[in-house]
Amino acid sequence: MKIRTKLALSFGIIISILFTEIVLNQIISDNATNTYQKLKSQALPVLRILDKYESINNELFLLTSNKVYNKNLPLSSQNRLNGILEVELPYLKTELFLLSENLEKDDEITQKSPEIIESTNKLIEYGSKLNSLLVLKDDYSNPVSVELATKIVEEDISNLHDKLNTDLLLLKIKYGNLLEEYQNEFSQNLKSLSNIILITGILGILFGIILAILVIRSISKPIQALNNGALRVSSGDYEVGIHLKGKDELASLGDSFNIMTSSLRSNFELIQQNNKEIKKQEERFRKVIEASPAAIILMDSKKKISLINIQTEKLFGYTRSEIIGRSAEKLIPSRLLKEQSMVDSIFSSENKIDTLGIEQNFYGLTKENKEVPIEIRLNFIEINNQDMILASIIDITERRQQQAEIKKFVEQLKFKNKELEQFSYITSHDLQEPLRTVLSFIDLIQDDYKDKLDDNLNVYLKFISDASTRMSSLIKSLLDYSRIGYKGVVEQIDLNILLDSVTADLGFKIEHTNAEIKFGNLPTINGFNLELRLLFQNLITNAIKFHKEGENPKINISYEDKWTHWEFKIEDNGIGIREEFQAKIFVIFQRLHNREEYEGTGIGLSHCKKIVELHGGEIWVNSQENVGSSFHFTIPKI
Amino acid sequence: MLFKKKLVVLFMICITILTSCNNPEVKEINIGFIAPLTTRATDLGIAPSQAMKLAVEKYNSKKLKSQPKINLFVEDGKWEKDMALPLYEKLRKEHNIDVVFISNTDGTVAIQDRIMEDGVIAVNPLNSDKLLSSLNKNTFKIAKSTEEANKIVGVRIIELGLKKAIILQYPNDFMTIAANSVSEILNENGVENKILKVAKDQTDFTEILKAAQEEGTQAYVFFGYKDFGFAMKQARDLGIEAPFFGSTVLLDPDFYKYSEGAIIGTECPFFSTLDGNYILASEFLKDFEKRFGEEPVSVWPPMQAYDAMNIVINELKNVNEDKPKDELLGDWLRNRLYNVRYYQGICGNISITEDGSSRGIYFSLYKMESEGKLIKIKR
Repeated sequence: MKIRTKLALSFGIIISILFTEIVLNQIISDNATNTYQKLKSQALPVLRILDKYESINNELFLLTSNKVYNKNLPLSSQNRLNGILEVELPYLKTELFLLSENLEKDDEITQKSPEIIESTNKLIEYGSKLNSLLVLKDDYSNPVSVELATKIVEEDISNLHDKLNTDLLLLKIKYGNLLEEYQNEFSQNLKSLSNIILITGILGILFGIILAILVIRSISKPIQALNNGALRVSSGDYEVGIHLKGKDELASLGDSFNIMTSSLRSNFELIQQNNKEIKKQEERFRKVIEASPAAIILMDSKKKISLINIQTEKLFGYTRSEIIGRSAEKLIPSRLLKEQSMVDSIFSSENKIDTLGIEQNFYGLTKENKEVPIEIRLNFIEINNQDMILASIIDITERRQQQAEIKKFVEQLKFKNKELEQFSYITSHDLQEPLRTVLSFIDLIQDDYKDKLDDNLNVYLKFISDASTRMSSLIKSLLDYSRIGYKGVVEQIDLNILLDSVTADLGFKIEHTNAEIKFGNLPTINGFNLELRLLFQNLITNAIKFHKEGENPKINISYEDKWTHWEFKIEDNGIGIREEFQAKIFVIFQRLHNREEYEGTGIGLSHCKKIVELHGGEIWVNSQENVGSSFHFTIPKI
Repeated sequence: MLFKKKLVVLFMICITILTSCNNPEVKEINIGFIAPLTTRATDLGIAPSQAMKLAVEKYNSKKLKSQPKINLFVEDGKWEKDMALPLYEKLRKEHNIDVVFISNTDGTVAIQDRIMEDGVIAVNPLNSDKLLSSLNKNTFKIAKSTEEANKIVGVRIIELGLKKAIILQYPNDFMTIAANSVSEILNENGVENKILKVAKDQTDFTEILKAAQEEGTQAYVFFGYKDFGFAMKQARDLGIEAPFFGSTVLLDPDFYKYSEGAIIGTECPFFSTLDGNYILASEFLKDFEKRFGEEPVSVWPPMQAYDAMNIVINELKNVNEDKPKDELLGDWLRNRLYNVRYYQGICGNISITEDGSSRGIYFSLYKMESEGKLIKIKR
């Protein structure tokens, strides 16, 4: 039987007992209430009126007797007599009438009340008559009045008084017995009520105890078994099984318990496998940490070290046991620790990776109090809801030495470049002077000795003059080349304005060749004004110069915004460049045509390359012979 | 959540409706009292108004929630007939009174038509006589019988063997009835007597008294108020030694003052605690003294007023339980008062008869022994 059935049955029995008790109580209470109502509405009011009636009847008789025989009757007695006649008796007869109206018709008081009321009316009548006969003391001297008054009292009032008293007495006995009867009945009802409460109470308690014992027994044993099983499971014994008899809820709970232990067993095995896997992962992770070329330190937000790898041991000379649990500040020289702001600003920067050591000139402190230049990368991570700092530390002693050497070489190179530039400048500038002297003297010779020079000599002089002029041109070009970027200032340049100016300067050539130059809305960029002007001028000039015979040059200038830099393109429909020469065109004084075909020194594109590189960009060409060329160059935005 | 709130609101509405159904329809009832608080017969006004106030306060302090609160508003009628109606109208207008108490017989007559129009119940708590009983059905007299009380004086004159009496009477209904009741019994028993009405504010009675003295008058009856104190003094000054008789108002302190002690020995009808329910009456006087600091000079007016107010309250307290909704308060109260058969008051056991007068308050004969003190006369 299921527990709930047992409990329902138990409670059902107890409730039935209580219900029986309630019903019996109700019945007896109703009886008691009825008896009480009769007592209250019948016997007691009747007896009260009868008592009062009897008392007033006696008082009236005494007062009237006194009035007849005492001519000095006090006024207060007379007033009392008046009160009885005018108030008390009328009231009593009204009360009696109303009471008899509310009682059964066969009730004795109902049957007797008209007679009593009639007697009362007569008493009032005789009393009033007596009052009118004996008003003054002199009335007592009147024998007629006195005789009549005596007769009224001794005969009429006395007879009525006796009769009324007898009637009242009989009624009082009758209703006295009735009262006693009701009281006994009422008492009996209360006794029965008490007995029923006692018996049903005892029965209820006995049933309750028996049922409680039975139910407790049927529940406590399986619960004990379940408790033992639970204790064994809690101590790690997942093989425990419980076998409870019956089909109640506890047996079902036992089955569920067995299922639970089985499930726990499976889960425990799964957890064990997972733990192994976690251990493997940890081992793998540990190996990775250990294999890291950098020293790794894991610390909490208060810089307390919780993990290090072998590189850390090597770098700082501490064993794990010596350093784990200690503050990371132990690994920082005290002179740096004094610069608290720097250390704190680094360690308090959450959610970012920061690097110490490269520019901050940071050092670590070994166990032997030796300072080692280090680079630290700090990574703020959260492990188990705790803010942690992962520091990756590299000994940069060698790198620092290498950087020092590189710096030294760069300085030397810069110095040499400067020297070379100076040399080129000086050379080209100083060489111009003797060349100009040579050309001047050739001019003088040709002018002054024109008649004396033979043809051969004139030809030779012309060769010398041409060679000198070309040399001067070359030197000038070289001078220009060396001057590129010299004393220049980076500024914002609107390329639209710049190109308007360039095309204006090249107006003659453009007009002469019917060249068509197109450019859209170009950007404003940062750069050297003169050099950029030369760059565009050279490229446009080249495009005009190397146009196809019989075809007007068409030049299109465009650009693309490449996020980090601008990429410009100058396209033409010129003669193009054969592929094998495309790599040579930016080499200084490299010409692809002889001077007779196209004039020039062959330094223009070298200028372009130098200007682009001066701005940090690149320049290249895409070209197809007899189709045209497109020169590309980039200018970084910053 | 919203559903739960709606349920609570609905429940509250139901409770309100149910409780409002049980709420009394009448929450307050206003009662007025037109009484002489100044000028004349103040012993019939001040102490009775205090006694009524005491009754109202006792009721209000102990009443159940379902019972109406009662408010008492007192106006000074100065014992003048002409003031009764204006004061009644004032009480109606300002307080919408449902019951008016009025101690002046003339005043009670004066407001008769208006109380019937308004459905207001009038109660005279001092006097009950045939004249008042002939008025309309809304008028009740919860007091001694004027005729009976004063008849005692006539009986006393007869029993003392006095053969010639003069009755000096103040010109109002009450004193007229009192004088007539004495005159009637004297006439029945062969005692020569005459009633002499004096002027309202008359203070010199020498001529009247001199004439009576010369006529050999053996009994002097002063049915009036304090001004007859002058008459008593003037009588004694004239050498008149015949006994004096008075009405129920002899204890007015001015009476003694004006008589300069000549009032001592005057016999009169009176009512004290000994004549009523002594236990209840004594308790009332204690409460009165506790509430107002002193006992009343003349006890019968406040005792009657106290009983009269309590009889009315005894009915009004059941108004919300017993009064049918469609019945007017005045009609309901009138019917209830007509059914008062037995009320155990401080003045005795009182009933109200079919003509609206009460029975059960009976005066005795007293004699003024000293200033403010009366003693009961034994036959």
